[in-house]
Parts: sequence; C-alpha cells; structure tokens
Amino acid sequence: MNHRISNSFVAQIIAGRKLDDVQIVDSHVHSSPWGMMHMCSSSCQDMLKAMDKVGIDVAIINGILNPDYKEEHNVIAERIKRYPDRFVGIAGVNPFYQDDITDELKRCFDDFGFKGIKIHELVTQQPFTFGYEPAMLEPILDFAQIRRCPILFHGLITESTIKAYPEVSFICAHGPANLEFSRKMAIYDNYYVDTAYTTILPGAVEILIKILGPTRILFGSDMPTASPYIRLAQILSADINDSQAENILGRNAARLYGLGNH
Amino acid sequence: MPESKRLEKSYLMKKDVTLNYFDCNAMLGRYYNPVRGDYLTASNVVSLYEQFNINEGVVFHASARDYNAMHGNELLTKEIQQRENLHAAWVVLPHHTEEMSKPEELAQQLKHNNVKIVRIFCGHWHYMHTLDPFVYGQLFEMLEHYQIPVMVEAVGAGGVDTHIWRDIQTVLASFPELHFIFLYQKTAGLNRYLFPLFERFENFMLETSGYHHFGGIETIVKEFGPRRLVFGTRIPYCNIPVSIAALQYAEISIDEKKLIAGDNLRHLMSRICL
Repeated sequence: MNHRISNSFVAQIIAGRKLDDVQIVDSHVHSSPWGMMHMCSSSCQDMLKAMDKVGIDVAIINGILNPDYKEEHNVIAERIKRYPDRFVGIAGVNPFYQDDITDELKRCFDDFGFKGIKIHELVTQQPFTFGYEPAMLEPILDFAQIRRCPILFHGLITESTIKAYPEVSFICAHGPANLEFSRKMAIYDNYYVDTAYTTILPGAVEILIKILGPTRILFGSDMPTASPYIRLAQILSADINDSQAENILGRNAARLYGLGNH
Repeated sequence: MPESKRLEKSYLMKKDVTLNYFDCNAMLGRYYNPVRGDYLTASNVVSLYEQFNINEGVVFHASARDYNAMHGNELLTKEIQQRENLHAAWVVLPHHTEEMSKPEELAQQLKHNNVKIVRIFCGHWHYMHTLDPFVYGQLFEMLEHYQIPVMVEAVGAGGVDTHIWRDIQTVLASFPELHFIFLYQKTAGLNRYLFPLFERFENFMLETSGYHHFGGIETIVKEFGPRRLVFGTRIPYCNIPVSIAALQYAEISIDEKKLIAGDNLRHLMSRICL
C-alpha cells in the first residue's frame, strides 16, 4: 500500500521547497498573539518570512483575538499599508458593542480597505455567556450584505442566518472540525469552509470536497497559532488533484475577496 | 505551468538528500475508529517508508493499546519478524495485577524479543490515567537501569489533566537517567507546560507529529537544543508528508534536522544495556 499522491505539489512540500507556480492565499491568519496560548512567533516579519519560504502570496488577517478590536484594526491597517500586496484585512467587531459596529466597519472598509469581516464566539464566552442575543449580529450582517463582503465565522452563525443573507459568503472557520454542520449547510451556495484546524485526519479533506466540492473550500493555516507548512502539507497530502488543490490553495479565496489571478 | 512539467519537477524533487529518517510513532493493526476505514500491516508500513524515504521506524500494535498489552505485543513481534527496518515498541503496564511480568522478567522478555523501546498510554480511556511512581516506580527503575527509553502518550478527550503534568514532573525528577518521549495529538497551547519540563529535565523529549506551533521547532531547538525532539509520523492518524514538511521547512541547520529526523532516536536506542 502506497500513499496515493494525487497532485504535483506534494513532492515540493516534502522537499521543503517554495510552491512558486500556484497562487496561495492563506485565508485564516491572526494579526496578534492571544492570552489563551503561548505563540512562539507572531511578528509580522516572521509571518512574511514563512509566507515567502513556502510560497503564500497573500494572507487574509483578522485581529479578533484582541478584545480591543479598534487597536488591532489600526495594527492591521499599518501592515496593509506597508505590504499592500501581501496582506488583506478583515474586521473583527464585537456584537456587544452595538453603538460602535457600523462606524468601525465603515472605518475599516473605507479608510483601510478591508475586504471582509470576522465573527467569533469567544466574545460570548469570556468569561460569561450572559446577555448575548443573535439579533446583535444584525448590524454586522446588514453591512456585509450591502458591501457584498465575506464573513469568516467561528460559531454564532446559524442556518437561518446563512439563508437570510444570500449575498453574503459565509466562511466557516475550521472546516474539518465542522463536517456535520457543513453537510447541512452544503445546500446553500453562500456557505464555505476554511481548512484551519489542528488535527486534520486523513480523509477529512476528501470528505469536505465530497460535501461541498472543491470551489467552496479555502486554505487557512491559523498562523501564528499554527504552522502554515504543516497546514499546507495536510491539504496537499490528501487525495486531491492539481485543479482541486489550486482551487483550495488560492483561487477560491481570491475570488471571494476580489483579489487578482483567480 | 503545464501538468507534464509539474510532474517532471515533482520527480526531480524526490531525489533530494534524505535526512535519514527514523520514525518513532507508527501503529499496526485493527483499531476502533479506523481512519479511511482501513488499518496498517507491517508490509504497508514498509511500503510507505520506501515511498517517503524513511529508513526505519518504531511500531506498536493497536491491540496492545486498546485490548490487551501482552497479546498485542506478541502479535506485533510476530508481524514484524524479519523486517529489519521495523522496531517493536512494547506497550507496558505495572506488574501488580499480573497482566504483565515483574520488571526483571519483563526485561528478559524485552531482550529476548529485541525490544529496545516501550510505550505507556495514560490518556482518559487508556489503561491507567496516571504515571505516579507509586504504581509505575518498579517498572521505571528497571527501565532506567537498562536505559530503555519510554514513550508516553497522554491523549485525552479534554487535554492533559493537571495531575498527569504533576506525574510527569515527578517521574522525570525521580528517574533522571530514564528518557521519556512525550507524545500528544494536539500540542496547541501546551508550551507553557512543555517548556518548564524542557528547562528542568534533560531526560524530557517531545515527538514531533502533534507539535504544530508556528516557529515551535525553531524555538525548542534554540532554547533547549536539537536533542529534545524526536521525529514521528503518527501513521495511520496522519499523512507522512505532514511530519516531513514540518521538519523540512524548520529554520534550523541541516545537522539539527538530522538529529531530530533520526539520530536522536538512534542514539537513545543504542544506549540500552540489556
């Protein structure tokens, strides 16, 4: 029994080479460290170095792990200003700060050129779950609908939301951990997943392709909480061909976020 | 780039210099929740190693982990007979319940079966959810005496419990000449536990397959040296390219990569004085 190598990128990954003949967009990258876990490296320079080493062209960065999202948006904006071809920003607003949402999103999109939004359930869990209501998301969802921008979500988004906002592309973070939810949401064309997950068991990527097809899966590494090299290897060592790999590695994200070369 | 050019490039890539890999973590045999509905035989493992230029590997049997330790160990020994590049890791337990021989007798069994490394499971659903020297002490004394390294797998549903960390610390301190290789499936967030252990105990090592930290390998090598990491694939739970890529891309020297890829494990297994 051999491991089935179905695409031409695996050999490059095994050799530690740069994947320089395919567009790679890392759709799930954090701009900041996080109190919940130690990160060996979270600086912009380290991330760029890793991106250059393996061939990641663009990283879509969010600052959701910083409770002061305005501060983090400023950090991301600086990074985009410095490296406009390498970073794309998405805004991470907290639904509890209702008065702030629309103005902050406008600031991010109009002043800084952000292209998406991130929603994370940790805002409802740290340290209490008291007081959250799904209606709190409406200003965020309405904004996304008007701007036709993707929303990367980790919890909080339900089937009724996905159905109610057909113009919004909803990207479920950590796709391999959400197979059952993905099976149910597959009927909605505006449902996507990213691949940022710690333990991608052999076969999980193949199952996701069966459920959603290769055009609704986005490569995401979760850098700097995880290594982009390992995440890429997890995807490329799956039984997927070159065309499927190209879609997952970059084409799908480029299309959703309006980047070039898709 | 045309497909033919890509495939040609892929073929050329395969000829890259090998790091003389020695995998410390492969599993044979049927198990409860098979990935892709399949399991590995010795023949499968050898074939996979050939495909990815892995020179040799340490294997254990799923039955030894999930069903009966000695029964699984015997199945393993039988299955890997005459496979020169496969080395058995026996799953071991304390002797008190007579599921396993007393330590000195076990040592002779290990010698007779050419077993140079052992494995202990202390996750939630494994044999014992502890490493306390109160139960493991005599076994560890024997292993330390004969310099037989121990792989400790602490996979658990909710993570590694606090008492296991305490047990690990106690055991490392009590048996300073015994090398422990810690294996864990998801080491995200564990640096705050791992780094103090690395700092205090030279006999504490980490297997690489579950260690996915960005910059993690580089940090461990820089802070604690390259002899603290041991390459593992975790097949069939992981695809081999994943572990190889982690090491290939690490920003460390080729000599450091060689140690981690295989020489650290070779050194450990050559120190045995049975």
